[in-house]
Amino acid sequence: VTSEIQRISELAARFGSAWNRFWFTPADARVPSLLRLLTGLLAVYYLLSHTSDLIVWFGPYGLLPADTVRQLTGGGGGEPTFRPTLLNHLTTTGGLWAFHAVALLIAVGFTAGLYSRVTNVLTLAVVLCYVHRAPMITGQFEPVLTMLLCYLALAPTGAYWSLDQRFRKTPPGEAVKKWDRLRAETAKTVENQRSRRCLYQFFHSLDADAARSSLGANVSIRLIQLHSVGPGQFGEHFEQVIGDDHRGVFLHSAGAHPGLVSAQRMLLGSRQVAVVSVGDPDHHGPRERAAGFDVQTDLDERFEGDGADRQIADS
Amino acid sequence: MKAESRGESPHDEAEQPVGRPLLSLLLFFHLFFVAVAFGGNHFPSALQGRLVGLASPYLRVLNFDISFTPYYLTLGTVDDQDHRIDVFAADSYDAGDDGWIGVSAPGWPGGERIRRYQRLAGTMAFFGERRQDQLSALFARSVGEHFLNQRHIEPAQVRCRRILPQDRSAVAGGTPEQRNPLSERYFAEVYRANTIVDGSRVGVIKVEAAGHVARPDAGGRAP
Repeated sequence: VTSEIQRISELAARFGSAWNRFWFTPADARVPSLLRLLTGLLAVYYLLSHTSDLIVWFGPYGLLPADTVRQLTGGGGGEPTFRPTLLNHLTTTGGLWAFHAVALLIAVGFTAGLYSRVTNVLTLAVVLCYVHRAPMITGQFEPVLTMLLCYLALAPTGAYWSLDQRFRKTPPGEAVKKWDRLRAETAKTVENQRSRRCLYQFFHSLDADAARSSLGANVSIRLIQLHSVGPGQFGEHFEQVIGDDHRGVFLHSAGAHPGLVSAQRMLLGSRQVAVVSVGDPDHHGPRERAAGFDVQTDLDERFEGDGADRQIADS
Repeated sequence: MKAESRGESPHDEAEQPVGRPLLSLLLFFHLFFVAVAFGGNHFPSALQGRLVGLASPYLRVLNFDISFTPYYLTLGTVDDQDHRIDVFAADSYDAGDDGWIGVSAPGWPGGERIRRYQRLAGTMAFFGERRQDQLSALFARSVGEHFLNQRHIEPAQVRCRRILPQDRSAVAGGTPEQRNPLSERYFAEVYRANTIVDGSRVGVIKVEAAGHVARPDAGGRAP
């Protein structure tokens, strides 16, 4: 019993250690800084895509009036829907345009890295305003955009390639070098309480983005990694179609581009895949084989009658 | 274990007693609820529904509860097909089928702008297919009022149609009509309603079946 308890406690300690390594190892701020640039561009594109139809959707007598959206999202009876948006309160054309212009300026500021932390949160807020104003016309793009904006707010995204960096007195790299140098010099005396205090005080004098917030960079990157799961995570839906044999299923139209098939093969890795083809099966074999599938013509009865030809492929 | 040997700063160590467990707990709860919300995106169980409802103030505000977004690659169901909404202008009675005006704007089909119109039509069709007429009518009324007041076109009827996929063999060697993707044979109507215009407001009455379809009268008003 004692050995079992010891084994469990070792396991718990190993898990705790791995957890700490995964989440609390400081990371370089370059990755979140690069992501800031790319995410900022996506946010600008998203807002620009609303420009030509802003009044059509959200203006007076728009296609989706606020009251209609409230009823569709379950708030018709007055219960909270937890979809706060300023756009619900902007009922005039001028107000909408003013909001849109400010939203674009904020997103551009975030992309350029101007007051990155502030503009990051504000960009998230304005994008969420558009999302919550009409959630039924959002697609797969918006959840990814808001997720990135949300997680990047934890990181020092203005540390590199930003206006923040340009206007900063100490370059980010210098602060890190200073920190490393001091740590190496005081490594022998770090156990000394006074040295610790000195280090702690010095820490606050360092550039926050370069040293302290590198923990935020790691947490941000880890959260984005965990959130960006592959299609294998959605195997449940595939199983509903194909049965309990844990195969992924993709439906190919006859005109599907070979590149799409290859991309699916790449994404799925070594998973077993059932390729359900619609149309003439003669058009599919070579293409799937070229993409790396081992195509078989093992037809499944459950697709009888729905007009689909079946080709089961095990990769 | 000393902080130095783990490659951590003394500051991290100073924060560890309070900061790390708290942060770990927050991370766990966040990831747990996000996983539940994603897992329950389609056909959520009662427990998943309750858990997502419990965390909705957090999940919805930050858009982690993507209840309106189908989060799969493709299943090839009718819901995955494109839909479109059309409005029959009251003054186009003589034009016949040419009197139908599409709601969507022209543009690049891959762009977000066009996809929004398709999602609107898809959502309307979703409710129409499931006989949730009250919700379909909300869309039809909004579209009707939009045409009446923004585009200054008096609506007589609003319809939502599903665009059926073309068969490859039909495209390759079919008749001209079979090759035409805009042919009537590639559209299936899922909802149609007559409109009643009252000032700046528009009411709708669903046309129940093909036999019940009443063409608008010359005045543009539904019978």
